[in-house]
Amino acid sequence: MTIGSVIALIGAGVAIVLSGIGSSIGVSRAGQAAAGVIAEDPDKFMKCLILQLLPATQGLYGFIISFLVLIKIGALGTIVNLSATAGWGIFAGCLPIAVGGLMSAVYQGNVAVSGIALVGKDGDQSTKAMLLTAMVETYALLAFLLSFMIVFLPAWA
Amino acid sequence: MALIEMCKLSLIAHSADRSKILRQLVKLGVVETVRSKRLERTSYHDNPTGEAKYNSLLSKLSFVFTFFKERNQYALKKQIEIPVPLNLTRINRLLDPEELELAGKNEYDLLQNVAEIEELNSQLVDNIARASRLASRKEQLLFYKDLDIKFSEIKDNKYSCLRVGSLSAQGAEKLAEKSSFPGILITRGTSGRALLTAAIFHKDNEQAAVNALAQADFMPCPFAEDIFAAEEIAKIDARLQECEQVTNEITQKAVSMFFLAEKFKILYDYYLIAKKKVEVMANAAGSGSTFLLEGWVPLPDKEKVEKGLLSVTKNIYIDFRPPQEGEAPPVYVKNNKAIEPFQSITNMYGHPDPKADSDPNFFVAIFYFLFFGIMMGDAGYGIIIALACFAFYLIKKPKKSTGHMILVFGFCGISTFIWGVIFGGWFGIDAEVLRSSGFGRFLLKLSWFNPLDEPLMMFGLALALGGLQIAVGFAINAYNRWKENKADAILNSISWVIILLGIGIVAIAALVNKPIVNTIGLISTGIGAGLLVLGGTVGKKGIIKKVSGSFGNVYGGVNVFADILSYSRLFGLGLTTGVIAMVINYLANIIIQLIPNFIGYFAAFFILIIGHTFNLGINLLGTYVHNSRLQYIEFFSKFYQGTGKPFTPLGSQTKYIFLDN
Repeated sequence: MTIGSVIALIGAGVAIVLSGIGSSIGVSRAGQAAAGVIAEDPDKFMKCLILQLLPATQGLYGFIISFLVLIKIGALGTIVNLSATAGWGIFAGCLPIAVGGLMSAVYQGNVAVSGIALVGKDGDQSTKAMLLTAMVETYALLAFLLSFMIVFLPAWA
Repeated sequence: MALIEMCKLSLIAHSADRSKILRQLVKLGVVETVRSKRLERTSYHDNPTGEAKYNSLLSKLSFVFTFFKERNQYALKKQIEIPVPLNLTRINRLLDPEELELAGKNEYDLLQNVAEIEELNSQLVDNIARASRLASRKEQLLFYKDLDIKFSEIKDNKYSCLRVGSLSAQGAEKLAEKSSFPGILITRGTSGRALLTAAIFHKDNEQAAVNALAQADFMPCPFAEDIFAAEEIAKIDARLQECEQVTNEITQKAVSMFFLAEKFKILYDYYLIAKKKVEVMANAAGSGSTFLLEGWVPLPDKEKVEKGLLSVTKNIYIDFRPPQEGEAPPVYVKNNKAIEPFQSITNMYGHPDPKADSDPNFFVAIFYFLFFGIMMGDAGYGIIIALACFAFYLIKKPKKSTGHMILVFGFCGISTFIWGVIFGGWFGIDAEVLRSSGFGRFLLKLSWFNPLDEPLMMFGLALALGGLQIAVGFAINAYNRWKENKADAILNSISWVIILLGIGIVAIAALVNKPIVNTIGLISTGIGAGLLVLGGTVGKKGIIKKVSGSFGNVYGGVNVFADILSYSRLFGLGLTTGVIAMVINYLANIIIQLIPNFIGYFAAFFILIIGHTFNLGINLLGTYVHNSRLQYIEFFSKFYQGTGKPFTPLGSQTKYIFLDN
């Protein structure tokens, strides 16, 4: 295995770890808020669960990008020997979803917390709370698309 | 497919016919009453006692529902037999208005049942209080359970003193260390906890011993009765069991009344409507013996209402007139069966405002359907969604709003299937695996392109559809504003349609590689941009304001392109579904290779089921949210206000029933 392949693998790790940290923070904050609402009214469990789940997608995006990196460098079979430049290229491709996912998941978690408070006051407003929370995800999606294009499209060698 | 025109109903009738007329209005279910005009020598008659009466009845029934819910939970926990399961959700059938009236007629029987339930509850509350008193006494006694003398025997004799009580572990240590205690100390119990302690000392040392005990935080025993602790605990246990028995009996009685829940639910809504009727009458101006009632009626239902009212009484004056300037009639939207379910998506944003909006539901339905499939993009998932939703709809027959959402998802399942076929997505199975079987090759033949292989093509498709939806948005905007201001409509809205059309033609030119088409596209874009620059000057006075208006318009164009880029989420979400499905298949495959026997296959099967269910669930959620967002933010911002007030006829605001009217 060349140094390039190692750098690419580190990139895959960075993508999944950072976006995973973001999602964990977002989901846990939302979960804590949800527990409070559910204690008052157990019937709101599903509505709260959906809101809690929204900041979880960044971790998934990170996972997809790292998986694509693994496919790209053949880590599931014989490893392709990448040049250092190609390794850094893939590493660069991992950064958007790593950082974008980290930040947007944390902030999306904050909106989810407020959305859960809204559901606590008025259960009929849960769709609006969901939409407000989903607004933040746009930037994670854009980061994911960019990461996808950098990692998957060029023929790295 | 449109907004239904409304007309204003005014009726004057005798007060004696009041309840008959109101009942008929509930039955018709197409009249939304408003505060009437006050005619000469009339006034509004508030009826606070009537409202208070219904409020108190409603809270009685709410109490019954809470009581039932709690007893149900208890019965489930204690495995008490429940003859009829408790159901406190909305009754899933259309209720005949006659049945509602019947519930009202039988209210006294039911209220008697409510009184019984209240009686049960007070018994239960007493019983629970008794049990908690017993439990706290038991808690105190438990500490002395090893004491083998009666409490009454703890007393001094002629020469010596006996004290029994609890001593903290630290206290016991303190006394032992200094060996300062002038007597004998006997302690029992596990170390680290409070110890059961007996202190025996000579009467001459009483003062010193008591002081030493007090310093070590000795707590004397609070009991002095002629009983053994262990015996008393056993007695309390028996009484606690009695209490539980009583609770069980009360619960059994409560559970045996669960069959009344449906009647209570209907009665609840009967009172809810009755309360509403009181409000209606408070808003109808009346003289001593007549009243004037006004409300909105959809124009097509005019004759039905007139006929219905005349069938109740002949002594009535009825008039219909179109809405006047300054009046804001409520909005009633009617669409055909295919589009109607999608109204719930639009309504979540806001109901169309009859003054500014036309009904967007036709376009929302088309685009929502179109985009949903792209974001899910897997034919296998599409089949599952469609089958599940339609089966649920046919078997459960959910009413009104729930039914609409299920249908929306059912239709979108079809869209997911179609796009899945186009993209060659079948549960994320790799194209090479598909190619290895005849059927797989057939499925691949149906596909147009695979987004994973041709991501740029997919990206282009997403943006092209985005451009299309935004162009449609601008076209509707032009249509809405045409009557008001033709120049504004052409220069500020149609201009964008032309620009987007031009860009579309340029894109097609790049695909078919014809320079002439490219030129046509560029010219079209140029004309559109020219119109847009002119559009900035509409309604502005003075050359500086006109120029800055034009600049503003061009600068605002950046937002339109940002909106189009937002449609890249069509691509992004579609990608997520496909890749995660692929990963799940990959993992299952690895398991089979690692453990090539039935255990491996079993584990792989498990991974596939759980993995695909998870993927389907999370992407369904994401798709629903992001698809709605595209409609609300990107599409509606071009033409839709959504500030209308929805039509809520008398008899439509119920909690537990759907009225068949």
